[in-house]
Amino acid sequence: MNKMKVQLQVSWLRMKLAIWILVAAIAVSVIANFTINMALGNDPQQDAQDVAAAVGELRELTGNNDLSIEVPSEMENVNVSSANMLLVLLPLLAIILPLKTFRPMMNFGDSRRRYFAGLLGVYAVSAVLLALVNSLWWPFEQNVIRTHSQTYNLIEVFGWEQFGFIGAFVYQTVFYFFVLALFNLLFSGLKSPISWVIWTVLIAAIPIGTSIASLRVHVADFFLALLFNDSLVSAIGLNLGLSLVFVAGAWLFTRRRTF
Amino acid sequence: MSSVLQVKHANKSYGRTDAVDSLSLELEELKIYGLLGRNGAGKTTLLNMVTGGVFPDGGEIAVHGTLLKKGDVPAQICYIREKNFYPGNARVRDVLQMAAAFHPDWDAKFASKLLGTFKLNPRKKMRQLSRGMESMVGNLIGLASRSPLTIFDEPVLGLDVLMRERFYRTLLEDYAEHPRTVLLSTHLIDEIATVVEKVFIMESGSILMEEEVEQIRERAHLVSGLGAALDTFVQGKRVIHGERYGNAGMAIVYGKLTKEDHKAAESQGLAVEGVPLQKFFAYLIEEGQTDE
Repeated sequence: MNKMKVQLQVSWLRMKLAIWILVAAIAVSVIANFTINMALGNDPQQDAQDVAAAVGELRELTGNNDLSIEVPSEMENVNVSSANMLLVLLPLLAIILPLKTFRPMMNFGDSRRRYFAGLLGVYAVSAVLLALVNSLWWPFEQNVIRTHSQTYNLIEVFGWEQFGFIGAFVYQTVFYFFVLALFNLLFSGLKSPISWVIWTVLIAAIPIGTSIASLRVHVADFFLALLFNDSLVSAIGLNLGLSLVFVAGAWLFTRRRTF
Repeated sequence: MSSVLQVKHANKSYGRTDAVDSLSLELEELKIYGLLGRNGAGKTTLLNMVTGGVFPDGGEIAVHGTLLKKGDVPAQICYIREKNFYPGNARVRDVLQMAAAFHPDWDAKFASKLLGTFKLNPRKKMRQLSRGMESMVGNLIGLASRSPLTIFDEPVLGLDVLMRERFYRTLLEDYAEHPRTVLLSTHLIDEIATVVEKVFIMESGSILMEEEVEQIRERAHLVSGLGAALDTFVQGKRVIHGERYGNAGMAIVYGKLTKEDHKAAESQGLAVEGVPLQKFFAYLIEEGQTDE
């Protein structure tokens, strides 16, 4: 067993409970949705066809071709994609690992530098795996899941499907790594006053940014560029660039972190 | 002999409390040392500084000749902490495999043998172990690591007498075959007196005494008798502690007593005996307190 394998094992031992709880919650949610939909005879595709037929009949009867039916959003039963629910792991990983694996690894005799590199490796692998799961789940969700329930997936919410399978996978990977790096920064230096300042700035940034009109545009532009970017290269650059800044910050905390 | 660990004027404060105050010590290779002190004397802070867990506010620490910089963790050192930080849901055998990855001189066969010696079930999870068994897992790692510098912080915490003796015996047997530097931090001097060659006694963040155990045995004396004779006898000698009971009294004297001293004591009706190390340790620390 090498040091990286030890870190993976310690990470797994620390995350195991959270992972099982999340998987169980997703399983219960899927089963509950499926059962309710079956019990109510809910078939979104059939419903859509029925509504379209009814609209066609009404248009014929009234002679008004502009006639349409709008279903209020609160009437729709739309669920989060199961693969997207797994993404709760992103904050969980980046909170639990820096808080719960630093001491065990140092206790074994690990160095801060190797520990931090290993932690980044765990994050990178997690980002790739979660992106892969969601990318593989997405066609299955479109073709199978949506025949009996309505769902939404980040891939279509953020328009990442425009980049194709590989593009959507890469976009997800860099964005997930960005989330991991951000949470890791926030939880790597909880004892440091600098960390408290970062927490305060982040907590204050969104309400201030959205309440001041002149700033609101920039906040919106930032999130558009980060999540809804039409250029894959630019999205990768922005997500990775910010991730690097967060990683550098987290390293500054970790290299001075005491036992 | 070359130095394995050198600490020069190390300081560490937590707020207004000086946990370690201008402390210096040196460990030579292939020796077993004891670090003694009461709870809160600064032993764990010192050990954490030496192993890179916390950073000194001042002074220098060099391990195997390499100066420890802020954030560095020294190589070729195995530190068994008083409180273990192994994942509670890991099995004993997993913890041993994980520890092996960090110690290049790890002896897997010896580790397996020690599981039997210390009566540890390798399939048990860490959280299922008693406090004593937890200590034993740490001790096993310290022994099997065969690290050139191995540090045990309170290694017999929670252990019964039988297991304590078994640990010290195993340590000595293994040390005889694989000599290395070992530092045992504890407050039970009597137990380690037969194991260690030299002790550092710590109090209030400083080294109160640095002495070979044999020297302490030879130099620590309990002198008792009539108060006036006692006062005359102890004049010019280092008195660690004194007590009076009416006309009589006793004094703990530290220093070499010559044949003449013994004759003088006898002629004045004073009794001179050896002092149990644990008592000497307690009296010495009392003296340190009074000196402040």
